[in-house]
This record gives sequence, C-alpha cells and structure tokens, in this order.
Amino acid sequence: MRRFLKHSLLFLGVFLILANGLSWMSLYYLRKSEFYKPSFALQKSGEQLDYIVLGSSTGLTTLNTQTIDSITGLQGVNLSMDDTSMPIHALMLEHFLAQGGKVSSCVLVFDAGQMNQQTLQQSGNAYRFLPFIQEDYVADYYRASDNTLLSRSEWLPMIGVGYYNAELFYPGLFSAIKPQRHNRFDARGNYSYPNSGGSNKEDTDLMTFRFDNPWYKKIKAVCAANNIELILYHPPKFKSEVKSDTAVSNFINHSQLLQDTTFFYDELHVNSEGRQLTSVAFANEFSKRIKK
Amino acid sequence: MLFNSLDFAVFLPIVFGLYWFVTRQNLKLQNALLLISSYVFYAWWDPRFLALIVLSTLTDYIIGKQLNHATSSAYRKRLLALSLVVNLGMLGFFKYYNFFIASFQDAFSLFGQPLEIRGLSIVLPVGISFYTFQTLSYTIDVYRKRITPSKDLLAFATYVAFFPQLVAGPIERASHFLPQVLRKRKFNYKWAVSGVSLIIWGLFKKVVIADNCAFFVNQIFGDPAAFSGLELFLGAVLFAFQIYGDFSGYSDIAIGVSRLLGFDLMTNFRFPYLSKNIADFWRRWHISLSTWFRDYLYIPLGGSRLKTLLNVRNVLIVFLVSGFWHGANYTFIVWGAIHALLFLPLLLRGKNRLHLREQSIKPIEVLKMILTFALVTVAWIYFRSDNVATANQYLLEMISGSWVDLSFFTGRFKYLLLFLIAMSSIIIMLAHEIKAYKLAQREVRLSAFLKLFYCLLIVFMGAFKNPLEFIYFQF
Repeated sequence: MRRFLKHSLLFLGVFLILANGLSWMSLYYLRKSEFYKPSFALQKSGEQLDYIVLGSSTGLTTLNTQTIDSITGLQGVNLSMDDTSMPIHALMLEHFLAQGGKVSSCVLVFDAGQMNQQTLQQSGNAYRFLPFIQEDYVADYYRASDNTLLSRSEWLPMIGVGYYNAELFYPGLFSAIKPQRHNRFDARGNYSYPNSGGSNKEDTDLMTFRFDNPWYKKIKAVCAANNIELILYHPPKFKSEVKSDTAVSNFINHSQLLQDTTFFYDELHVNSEGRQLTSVAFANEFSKRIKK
Repeated sequence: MLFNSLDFAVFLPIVFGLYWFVTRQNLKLQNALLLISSYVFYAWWDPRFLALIVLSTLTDYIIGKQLNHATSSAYRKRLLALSLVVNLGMLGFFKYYNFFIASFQDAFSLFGQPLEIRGLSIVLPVGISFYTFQTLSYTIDVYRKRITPSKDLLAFATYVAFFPQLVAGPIERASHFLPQVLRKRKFNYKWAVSGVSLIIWGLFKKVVIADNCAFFVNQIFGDPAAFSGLELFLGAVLFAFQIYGDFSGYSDIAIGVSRLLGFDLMTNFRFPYLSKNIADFWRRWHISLSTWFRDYLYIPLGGSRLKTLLNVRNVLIVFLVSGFWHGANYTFIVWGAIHALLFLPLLLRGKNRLHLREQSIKPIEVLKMILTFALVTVAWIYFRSDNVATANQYLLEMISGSWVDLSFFTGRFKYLLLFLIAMSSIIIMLAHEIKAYKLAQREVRLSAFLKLFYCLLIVFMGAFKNPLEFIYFQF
C-alpha cells in the first residue's frame, strides 16, 4: 500500500506539473498574441484611440470601424465579441482601461432584449479572458460566475485550459507560431457576414425597453469615472422596432434603418452590404455628436 | 454520481481511504462501508429510487433462502415466479409501461377502435435493467442449485448495489462476485496499478472519444435531412465509436475502481470492433449481457441443439429480447432483428462457434473486420435514431446524398479541430487495441509513461464543457 500511495503521489505530482506547465504556456502565448479580443485590446491599448466599440456579434458585424474612421477622421477599434453579453462588455471595458488604454468615446452596441434583463448573473462565455486570470478584475469575474471552479485557474491553469481546451489550448499552440493571427476579425477588430442569408419574417415587432440593465449601469459608471463619453447604439434588426421608455440623448437607434431583407444575413445580423450602409449612417450621426 | 465528475473524484479517495485504512481489519465493517458508499453513490442521482434496489435485494435474498429450504418442486417454481414477477414487474412498469400503452393504442386505432388510456409520467430509475438482471441471475442460479444462497444479507446487498458496476454493469453473477464479498480482501499493488490503468483508459474513451464524437452525432442525428451523404456516413461511424467509448469506458472505469478495492469484475468488452463476424462481435461486445441471455434464455430455450427452425426461433428470440432490453422503442427491436439476421447465416453454416486466432491479423481478416464494423454501424443507425422511419430516411439519404460535401466538419475552425481530435483519438485507441489483440490480452495495458500521456490527453482533448451522462444509464 505504501508503495502504491508513494507512486500515486509521484505520478500525480508529475502530472500536475506537466499539465499546468503546458496550460500556463498556452495562456502565455495567447496573452502575447492577437488571437482573441482581450489580447488584441492589450496590443491596441498603446495606440491613440478616439473610440472603441463594445458589443456582441451584432456589434462585431454591424459597425465597421474602418468605414467610420474614413468618414469621421477618427481612430477606433472594434472590441466586440460574438457569443457574449453585457457582463462581458463591462469586463472588456475594464480590461482595456486596466491595460493602460485611453479613449474619448465608447460605443455600446446592445439589443433591446438584453437591456431589459435585470439579472446580475455573469455571462459564462468569458474564456477569452482566461489568459489574464492573474488580473484581479478577471479573477473576480470568474469568482462571481456560476462556474467558480474556473477562478482556481489563477493557481492551477490546467482547470480553465482543460475545460476550454478547444478554445484555449490549441489556439495557444497556434499563437506561439503565428502571434499576429486574429480569430475571425480584421486588423481593426471588425468581422462581416457574407452577402447571403436573409429573413422570412413577415410581421414587424415593437419592443420597448428601459436602460435598467445593471451591467449597463456599471459600464456607464466606469465611463463617467474615466471621462469617456458613452454612446448607446441599437443596430438594425429585421422587421423590429425598438423604443426606449425614457429619453436618452446619447442613444442612436438604427433598429429600423434597413427594411430590405437583402441587407440581412439573418433576423439579427446585417450582411456585408448592410454593414456598409449602417456604418456610413452611424459615422454621420457620430460625427455630428462629436462636433457638438 | 458520474465517474467523470468532480464529485466522484472526491468520493473515490474518501471511500478508498476508509476502506483500506479504517475498516480493513473487519470484513463486516468493510462490507458495510461498501454498501453505504454504494447507496450514497446511487442516491446522488435520486434517493427515491434506492427503495427499488432495497426491494429487489430483500425479495431475492428471502426467496433465495426459501428456495434452499423448499423441497416441493411446485413451491420452488412459485418462488422463482415471484422473483421474476417482482423484478421484471419493476422493470416492466418503469421502463415499458408507456410503450405498451402507446402500442395498444396504435393497434386498436388500426381497427378503428381508438383506445383512451393515459400514459404516466414515469422517470426511469438509473441502472434498473442492470441490477434487476443481476438479482434475477442469483435467484435462477439458486433455483437451479448451481449456487447456495447467501446467508449474509449485508454481503448480498453489497453484491447487488456494489457502486462501481451498479448503474451500467458489468452484470455480475453471484457465483463470481459473492465469494469475493465474503472473503477478506488484501491490497495488491499490481492489481491496484492495473485498476488505475483501466480508470485512465476508460476516462480517455469516455471523455475524449465518446464526448467529442457526441458533439457531431447529436447534431447529425438531430436533423439528418440537413447533411450530405458523406456527413451522414461519418455521423454513423462517429456514433459507433461514441457508444463504444461511452459504454466500454464506463465498464473499464468500473473494473478499475473495483480492482482498487480488491475485487475482480468480469471483462465486458474485448475489442469488439476487431471482430471478424457478427458472432465474434457478440463474444466481444457487452459480454456480461450476452452471456446472461445465453445462460438464462438461449440455453433454456434449447440453444442451437434443436431442429433448424427451432434454432432460428431461439436466435430470433434472444436478439429481439436483447434489443428490447435496451429500451422501449421499436428502434431497439429492429436493431436486435438486424443482428439476428446477420447472425443466422453463421449459425446455419455452423460458423458461429469458430475459434478465431487472435494473434495475427491477415489482410483478409482486416477486410472481414471492416465488413463486420460496417454492418454493425448500419445497425447502430437504428439504435441511435428516434424512430424507425427516421433511421430508414437516414440510410436512404446516406446512400443517395452527396459524397463530396464535408462542410459541416470543415466549415468552422472549432468543428474541424473537434473532428480532428475525435478521429485522432479513435486511431490512437484502435492502435492500442490492435496491439493488445495481437498479444491475446484481454485489456489494453499502459506503462507509467503512457498513463501520464493519456492523463494529459484527457485534460487537453477531453470534452468537459457539456459533460454527458453515460449512454447506458438510460437502459
């Protein structure tokens, strides 16, 4: 028995060293690369930026910062990430600022349904921030989430990397070879759906919302504390009209900007052509506000 | 409690420590610990159904004792019938009640007489098919006077509820397992190390192979019409490896955990995808169930020693019952029927008992293995599909659909990556199995270095985000 326990402990020790070593390496290379948006934000935090775009897949695929920059003469990056929600947007803003980023405006692209949510629950899809688990704000985020075990990645990176191995371990290896490679976004953080798809929806919905989401309030507070102007933006949504029940001056509502299904990839997302039209419309509105 | 859960990773060392360090000197205490641990293990899923295990245990324990004293043949038969009624009654009610109601309704509707009987909202107790078969085998063996009944209720209850194999087998026989419960266990270093090997190998098959395959299988079988012929073909192949990795992985972990506690469970899988024909497949797949049906159904029916027609009948009965054992759905019956039809030509030609040389794999044998795997995979399509019509459609689409479109697997980086992980892990597994097969080993053996390697593969290739229950829990 003593021999078995001794060998088991030795085996466990070697296994933990190797698994954590490999995990730490993959997180290290991801942190140093531009593969995911948090690392990309770190690289961009040193640049002189006028605005950043925060949002989920709609933010990522609706506002093309290159088009906006060419019209407004400003310099911006898109830090939106697909499959995320308001808590991750708040985390991204905190991360960008904590890494030394400086910016005058923050465009928050949201969906009316999202804004109506009152829950304080963390979004579970924060794996892209795991390379920054040593930062307090990231560790705190994981500690407050449903899967608190992942916060142990601070000391045992194999937990988080093992759990998200397809999303972190292999991209980590890949980033060691090609650190400049981006995961589905261009040099300014944008991504576009192809000119295909559409929607069969026939009736127009009307959705009323209020700016009550607790994570929105957090973003608003962080912006205020850092002297950043917060611009709220609702992107086009096929056959949907959204209205706020309170008048907010910094809200650009483009929910009904596009009516034709040919501009949509699906009900929620515009396609490449729709993105171009929306980005131009946004840039015109945005520059008016900047001039004010 | 799932073997691949954090709960079990905490549970097992606690049981192991108490078992070898606290209760080792006292066999009764050690068995009591095993029984309590087994009930905790089961209650973790749903404590209400512990009552069924206790009922099955007490019924067969008492009937076993009565059988020992009974001299009248009629009385002995009545006792056996009582055990069958209790165990099969439980199984029938929880597993098949709604199926029979629906079937009756369909049958009456055919004759224009709609039957209005409501189905019940019944939760299937995990592992009920396994432990009822285990207790049944005990009573039948006592009835046949092949074993003497247990005089120790604690030992008998431990045999029925032994947690490593309680919910998904192997289905142990009392003649093999009860003596182990009744004698003092000694810790054996080599035995324990081989147990650790099997646990790691089983986890690799479950977490890396089965759960990664499941990612694709669930989507493809969820909407077969949306996929090309080649994608459907790959979906079927991946399901073949999913169910193998899932079920044999569970058995390996169960056997491995038992070895850590000083027990020897029967081998349940012996490289079934290296079988050279269907008869060979059934000597290698779910061995504890196929031998159960052989001993308690096929042989009592007369086996293969009767006239040809009766032999055919016996084979059909065994395979259909075996299919039905898996679940209350016609898909399982069709699955059993396909296997019966594939088995019958071998039986009629007298090739079902061929002793195959395992040490070499000649090219012609490789072809036989591939053909057997292909036939087994076709049958799996029925096993996995929601209904027979969907399975037929799946097969049709697979044959008639495009065989150049693979975009589902290659269209997105993540999908391609998971596909490569699934395929490479299958190749790794087969390489080990072929080696063990050639050496006529009954299981894959791993050196210390390979154990470490597979632990790392489990961490970096395992599908942890959406842990799936073991498929055979539902049976």
